[in-house]
Amino acid sequence: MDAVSVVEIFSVMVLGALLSFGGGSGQIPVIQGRWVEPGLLAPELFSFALAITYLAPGPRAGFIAGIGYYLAGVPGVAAAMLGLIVPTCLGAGAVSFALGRMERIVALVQPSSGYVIGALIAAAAWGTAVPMRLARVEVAAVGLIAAVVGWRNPDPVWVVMGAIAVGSGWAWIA
Amino acid sequence: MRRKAPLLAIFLALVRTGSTTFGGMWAATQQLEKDLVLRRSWLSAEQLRTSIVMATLIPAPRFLAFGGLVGFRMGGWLGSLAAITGLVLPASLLVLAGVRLISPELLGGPLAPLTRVIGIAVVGLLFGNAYHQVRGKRDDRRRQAIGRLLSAAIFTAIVVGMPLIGAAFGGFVLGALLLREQGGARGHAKGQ
Repeated sequence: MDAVSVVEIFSVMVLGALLSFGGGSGQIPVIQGRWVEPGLLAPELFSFALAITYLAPGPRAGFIAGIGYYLAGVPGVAAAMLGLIVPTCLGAGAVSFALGRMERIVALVQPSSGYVIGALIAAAAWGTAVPMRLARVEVAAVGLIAAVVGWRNPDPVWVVMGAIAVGSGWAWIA
Repeated sequence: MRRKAPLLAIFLALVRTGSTTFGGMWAATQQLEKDLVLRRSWLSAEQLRTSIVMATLIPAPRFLAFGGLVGFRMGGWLGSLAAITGLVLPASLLVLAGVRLISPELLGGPLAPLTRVIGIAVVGLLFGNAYHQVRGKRDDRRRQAIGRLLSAAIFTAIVVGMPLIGAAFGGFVLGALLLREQGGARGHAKGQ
């Protein structure tokens, strides 16, 4: 694997963060185009770093730490993280300044915000579920978890811990 | 800008969020409400919702953008930096540990059932949180009905291929027209 400079890692991650506008995973196509397709990063390593984020808590963008490591070791991790954090920080600051001048607009959208957010969350759930091609019993499991979460509001970490216990048992039996 | 919370407190609060939430920002909405609104009183329920919506407008990963907004509100630019760093740190360290310690063959082979069950749990969490948001328990029946129709329309638009940002924008415009406060009617102000 050819070495990639930390400056390039930083620049590509900044570009990926900027392309995440609207909630997409902008880093994925950028990393694919820049490093995976030209052969600088093996596709299986890229997929592996992405897959691990499903086992890790927090933002999925954490996978870029793994990409930075594969490309340039610990300095690559630092460059990748900076490339993620700097544009996010600048964007959050800029929007926070603008928010102070948008109070009337915010007051207008607030009554519908719960309903709009609910729809966006449901669409995210749908988008996650469809590529998984769930079997009937898995759809029933999704329904059961959704009913418990909607009704009893448990801490999500317990849901995931339960899933880890069931999944570990299944992996052990298989 | 006067700092409303110490930087270390902002950093640690977001480290906690980053290490105990699974499935991204949407799956964490209830937990964020419990922690930032009810426990720490850093935001009102409405400010939390506004921050969630505004996070989608920032050209950056949504959850991190949300952390940046909360951090900025509590501690200005440094607060934003502390919040984003704290939020992404646990996931990054775990991914880093994973790429160093686990063989890529394991995840697609023996650990495949584990990743699948976690995926199913995350989908269930997301649908449960969506229901929690659209319940609108403080609204009267008419507003609930309109709100839920609006949710269904936005969901359908996204599923058939409309860009998320366009669907959300259209939803807010329709919502502002249909769910406007009238004569003391109560808004969707849960937790206020």
